Amino acid sequence: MIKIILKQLLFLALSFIGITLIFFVLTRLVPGDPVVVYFGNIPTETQAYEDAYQYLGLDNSAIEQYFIYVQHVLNGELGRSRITGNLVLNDFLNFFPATIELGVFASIIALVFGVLAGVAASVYKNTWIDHSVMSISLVGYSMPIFWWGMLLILLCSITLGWTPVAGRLSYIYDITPVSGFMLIDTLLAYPKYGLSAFVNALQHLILPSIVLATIPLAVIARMTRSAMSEAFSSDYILTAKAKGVSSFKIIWVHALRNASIPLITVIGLQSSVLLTGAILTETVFAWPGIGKWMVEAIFRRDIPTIQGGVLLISVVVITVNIAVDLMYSFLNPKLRRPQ
Amino acid sequence: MSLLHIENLSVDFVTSRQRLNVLDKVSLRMQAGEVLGVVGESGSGKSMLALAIMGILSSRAQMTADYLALNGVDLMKLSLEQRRRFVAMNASIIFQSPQNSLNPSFKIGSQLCETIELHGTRSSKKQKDKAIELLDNVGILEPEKIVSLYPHQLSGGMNQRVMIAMAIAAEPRLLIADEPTTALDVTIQSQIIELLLKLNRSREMGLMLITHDFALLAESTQKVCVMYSGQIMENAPTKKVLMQPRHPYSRALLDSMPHVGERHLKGQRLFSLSGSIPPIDHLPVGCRLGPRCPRADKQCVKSPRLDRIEGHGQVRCHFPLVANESQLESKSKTK
Amino acid sequence: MNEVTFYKESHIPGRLAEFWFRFQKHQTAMIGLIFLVIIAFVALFAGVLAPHDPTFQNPEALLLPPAWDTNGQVTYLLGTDDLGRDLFSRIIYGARLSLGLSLVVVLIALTLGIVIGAIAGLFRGIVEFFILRLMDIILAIPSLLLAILIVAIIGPGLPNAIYAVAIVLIPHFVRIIRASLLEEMAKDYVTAARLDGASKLRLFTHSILPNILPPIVIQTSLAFSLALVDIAALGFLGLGAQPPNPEWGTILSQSRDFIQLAPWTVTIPGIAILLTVLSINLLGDGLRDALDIKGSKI
Repeated sequence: MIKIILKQLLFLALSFIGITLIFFVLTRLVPGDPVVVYFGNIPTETQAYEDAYQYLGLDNSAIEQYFIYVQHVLNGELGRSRITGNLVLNDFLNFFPATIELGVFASIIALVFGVLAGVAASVYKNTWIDHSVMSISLVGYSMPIFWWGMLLILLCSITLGWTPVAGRLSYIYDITPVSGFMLIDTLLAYPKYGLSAFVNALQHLILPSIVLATIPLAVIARMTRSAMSEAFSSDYILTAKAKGVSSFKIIWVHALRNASIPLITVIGLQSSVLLTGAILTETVFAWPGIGKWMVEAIFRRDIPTIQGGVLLISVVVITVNIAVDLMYSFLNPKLRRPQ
Repeated sequence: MSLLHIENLSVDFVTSRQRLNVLDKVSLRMQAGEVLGVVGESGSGKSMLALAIMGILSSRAQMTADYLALNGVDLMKLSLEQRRRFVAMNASIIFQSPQNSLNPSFKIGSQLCETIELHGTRSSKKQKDKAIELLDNVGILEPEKIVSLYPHQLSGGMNQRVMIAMAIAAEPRLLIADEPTTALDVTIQSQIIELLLKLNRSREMGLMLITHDFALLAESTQKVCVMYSGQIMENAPTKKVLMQPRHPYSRALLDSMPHVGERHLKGQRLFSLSGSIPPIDHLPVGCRLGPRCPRADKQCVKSPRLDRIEGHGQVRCHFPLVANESQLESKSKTK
Repeated sequence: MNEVTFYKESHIPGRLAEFWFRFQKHQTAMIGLIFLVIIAFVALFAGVLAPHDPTFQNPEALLLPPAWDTNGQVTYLLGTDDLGRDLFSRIIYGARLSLGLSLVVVLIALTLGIVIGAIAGLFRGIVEFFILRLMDIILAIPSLLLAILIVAIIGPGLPNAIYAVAIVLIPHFVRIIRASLLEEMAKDYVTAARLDGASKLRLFTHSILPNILPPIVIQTSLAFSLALVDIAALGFLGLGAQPPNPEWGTILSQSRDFIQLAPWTVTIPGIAILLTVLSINLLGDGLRDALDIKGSKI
């Protein structure tokens, strides 16, 4: 176990070096004066320009510049947005909860319905249930989700009027952000609005979550089906049946526990898929999360924001991946204890 | 009342295109405390028979029987769930590969306790004590340590002992051992068989020993049932089959066994039946052994019945070997 | 006379014939293949098939609904967009862009992937270590985000989008090629070739490559569908193909504002993307079944 953790920490360190190196090289590749790239148009020959020049260590060799950059990153100095002048780290922390809220909600949808559909398909293998799960999941897997989002807006919001078109909350509610999570903040505002604000937030959340959950749900359903089918064909399932274990327990305990081992890896990989999806989903639904923040930064050529944002997002993804790896080794007894 | 009474048990695999018959009208009886050997090549349907008795065939398999009774209870009158529960209370099974028969994600102890709980012990303390006692009964040293290990941390032989412990936790009247030693080292094999026989004697527990190895049955069983391609070919006391096999297939099986000692002459070639067991979707017309049988004749295109031979047992053959002819030394071909 | 032939086939089919035999039994995969062939045909002969110039703006026919609508015109089969451009022609020309670009992206990623993967697998040691770590890092950054980052830094536009998506796809190829390479290297036939004195390059191209084709083919089909979606996504975000290019994602992003007024300008390009990606994935499923020995045993 300790060996696994050490290995993961080493990987984390290496990834950090790699990612910062890539970003350093890429940003120095941007045509133009690095000072201008980072800090916007500062007239040369002024004290401010001189300070910025010193801050980036541009007097030094490229290698030393890299180390100065790494030092800044480690200190949490990711710079200021060239457009708004806000600290990139603060912006990230402001926008991140909205993305987490969306991502967590979407993950729950994907996990619950994906596993249910996959288990149903494996239990009723080669029946119409199996065939429909497999066909629908293939369509879901092939879905360009930005279009899927627009389609759902067209259907549920414009035609049927069930859900709001965009955003996190109707403008009639004035919620003071406490946690940054709208579902929690609207509940905290219970004395002011009762449940109506919470319901409104939920209505805003549901469509983007479905869109974001689509691809992971399809992947999880297919993966669950194949992992469960493999478990069902094992001898230990025969043993359990012969012992008189109920079908329910065979499916949900004996088979699923073993199927969950390959499943965990797949679910872990979905965190990256989710963040990619979040960029598109947030753009379609005008959801004020990091995806939308990033896209806007790109259009404004706000290099410090892009650089800092992608770095932070990568750190999140790598951390999630490591957590998944640890969970994997915890769930798989063969890895936890040697022979 | 027999412990196990089967009349005309058939199992078919039904797919959209075809119907594959894997067990054809199998009938046999076992008395309480008896040791029955079931022998045949791989693909002869012997494992399918075990799964059918336990009620754990795959959902694609269709099972029919005129009568199937365990401990005097007619199983065919119960629903599948009821049958499974009743059989689980009265019979246990162990499989060929112990490493795969135990769930890799659960500790030995928790798997044993699950069985013990299914048989009525509620308190987890008592379950654990019982688990340790059972492991002790099957000759595992330091059972207290073993309960907190995972199957992959034990050797094959140890795992098979755990499987046996789990099987006897149910205090079954019948234990089906499906090739219990095939995946194990030779030295471990005899230990496991001895353990099974000991349990058979001490607990009055019927033992059905399924194997492809005649040698294994010779000393451990009272009766033997030779299967080929889903049918019983010969069903008789072990001694009789060994000394005077009446079915050409039993004879072939015995002849293809390398003997140590008197019977096998130096330099003599080991006998082997030509061809291989037919795939179930391409069964020959008539006697299923027909194309491979050295004694086959015109009549063999008609399926032979399983007939009683006085003073021997049941044989499914139009031309059974006669008593003195079937002495293994004899090479004559007269009918 | 009495000899019975147990084996009906008198000749053993070649690898390709056997593969095709298994593949064509896969109905859904055949549907995918046929659909893809049709799209490829349409893309190749876009100039002949398209009734209008995809960029020609007809001010007389703005936001015309499809022909089956009461207000539609037969000359504009799928209607027109806000600038009076024929949607049908744009979709047809878009097929050329989407399919062609994905093909280019996949070819770049495949070539570089094979080269890098082979270097990692054949030379091992420190080279392999650095290659693998680099690939891990690229994999750790969400694919679209990495593409966005690259595009953001080198600037939006089609060629940059192609590089970006290709870079994102390379690590998958490298990993698969290295893994199957190492698996094959341990086998005896490779040892035999080595003992014959084959150089590393010859070993790879003559002995190993033919045997690791199945996973590469499967990965290629996967990469193809990923490339198609990612290029469309970049187009949708305004970072890929720029208007008036009729790339499907770009068409979608331009019609966003007319979702209420002219829903067909949103639904139709999306259906084109979905069907194309779906048929690639169907094809991929069939390939996996036909190539994977493990999978074909049911």
